[in-house]
Amino acid sequence: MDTRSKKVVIKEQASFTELLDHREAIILDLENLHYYSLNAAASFLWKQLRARAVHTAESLSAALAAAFGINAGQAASETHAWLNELEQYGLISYAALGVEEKLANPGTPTTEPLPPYAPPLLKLSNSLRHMTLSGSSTVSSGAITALGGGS
Amino acid sequence: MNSTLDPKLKIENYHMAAIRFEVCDVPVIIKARAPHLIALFADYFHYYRPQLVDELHDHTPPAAPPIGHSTITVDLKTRRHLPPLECLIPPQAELLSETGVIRLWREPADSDSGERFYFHMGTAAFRVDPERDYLAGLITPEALSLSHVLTNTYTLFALLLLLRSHGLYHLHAAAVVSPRNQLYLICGAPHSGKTTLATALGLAGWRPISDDSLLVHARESAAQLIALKKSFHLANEILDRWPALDGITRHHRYHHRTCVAGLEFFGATALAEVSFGRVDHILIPQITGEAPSSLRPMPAGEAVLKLAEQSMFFQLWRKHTEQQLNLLAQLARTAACHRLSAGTDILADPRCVAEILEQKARDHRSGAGD
Repeated sequence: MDTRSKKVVIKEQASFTELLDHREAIILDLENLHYYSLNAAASFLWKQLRARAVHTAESLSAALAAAFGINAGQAASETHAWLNELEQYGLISYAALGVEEKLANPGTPTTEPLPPYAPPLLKLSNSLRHMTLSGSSTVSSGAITALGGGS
Repeated sequence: MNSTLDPKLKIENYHMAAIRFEVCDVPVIIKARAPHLIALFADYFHYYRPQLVDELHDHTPPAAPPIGHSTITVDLKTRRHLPPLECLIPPQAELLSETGVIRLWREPADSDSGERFYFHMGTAAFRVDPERDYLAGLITPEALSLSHVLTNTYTLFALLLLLRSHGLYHLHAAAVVSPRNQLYLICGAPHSGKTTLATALGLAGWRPISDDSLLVHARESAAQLIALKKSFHLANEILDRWPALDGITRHHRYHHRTCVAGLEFFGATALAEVSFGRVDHILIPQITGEAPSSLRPMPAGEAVLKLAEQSMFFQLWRKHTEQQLNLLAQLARTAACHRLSAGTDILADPRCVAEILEQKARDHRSGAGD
């Protein structure tokens, strides 16, 4: 599927938290309890997506290039690679752009200082799928999905 | 009739004794027909200054009715033997977790009752009913013979599940206040050295407020952290090795550990009442078996993951999972996060831990650190 002209949609159950401003963030997928660490560029891209502006891969890579001052070709290839990874993890999906929807303008780079550029990175941990009783427990991981409701 | 607790003198006079106390503003009542059971829990929760009440004769409301939280009731009964497993655990309940002898099941809500949880430990069993804030326990003489495990593990786990439904989240970590009034969290799996490090820092003049358990909660959306007040559980090897601990009050031994009055010994009893809104340092310890101990920085995201891994029932109830992660992240935002390789030099000289941490803090202030 050619995703270049599609709208990127983030997963509703993905809970994003910034830990160090513009440097480090985490995502917890509340559906499967996958935990992701994000570096500065990944955090920047996710915040762009979260800002509810309509984004395609192209508009995202343009925003990345503008923010970090990297060339358009590098930004495009690294944004595409990162989006592919997100899609594999189920953190994003693609949808057709509506007639009325306008692409987000990458605008001017953020005035906040950004760290030196490194390609967007997403690091996955599955360790939270195991319920901890006194720090060392085995669990029927299939049961974890049943734990979302209640009190 | 409420009375100041003096279990040895008075509990035998009660038909159905109970103790009442509050954990972080959440009222808890533990009741039982067996007076020795009440005495046991009164001793375990003594830092919470439990009041003895007579459940059969006391119908007077507490002087200050709780606001915001309903009362958690822990109802304990003694049995010579536990009923067969199939009589305790409904067939529709699903096994969630198995840790050694501790098994935990969840029974989904139905039209008759809310969601329920069942703990089975072989010698004791508990049913937890969060909707009713009710915890029923069956205790055998075998469980009573390991009274520390009964209180500190079996019953506490079930109580922590109910506290979670009140937004009080357990964190398996030690906490120590430095001479510069900075709060250090030492978070790790069992046997990663939390108690030993907290004790070593205590011997260097720092004030440990807990050696392994904290509660995290929100106050107007801001993260707060407070000690789960209880005795410290020191390895006998450490007590034998460090003569500076000779004066510490010892309660009872179990396995290879001894319960000691750590808060009193280190002068941290009052600090353990304080709710902290900020953490300055997070240490993730690892025992190396090599001589020199060392610190190296770790990303905040990794530190938050370690905190979440050591949060009991983190996976339970997604709204609480999300809130808890948010609170842990808030705490990590203000903290310098480090992996601490704890070496054998600490055994030889417990004060070296404080020296390593103080040197790192000096480096940080002078800009020479990470």
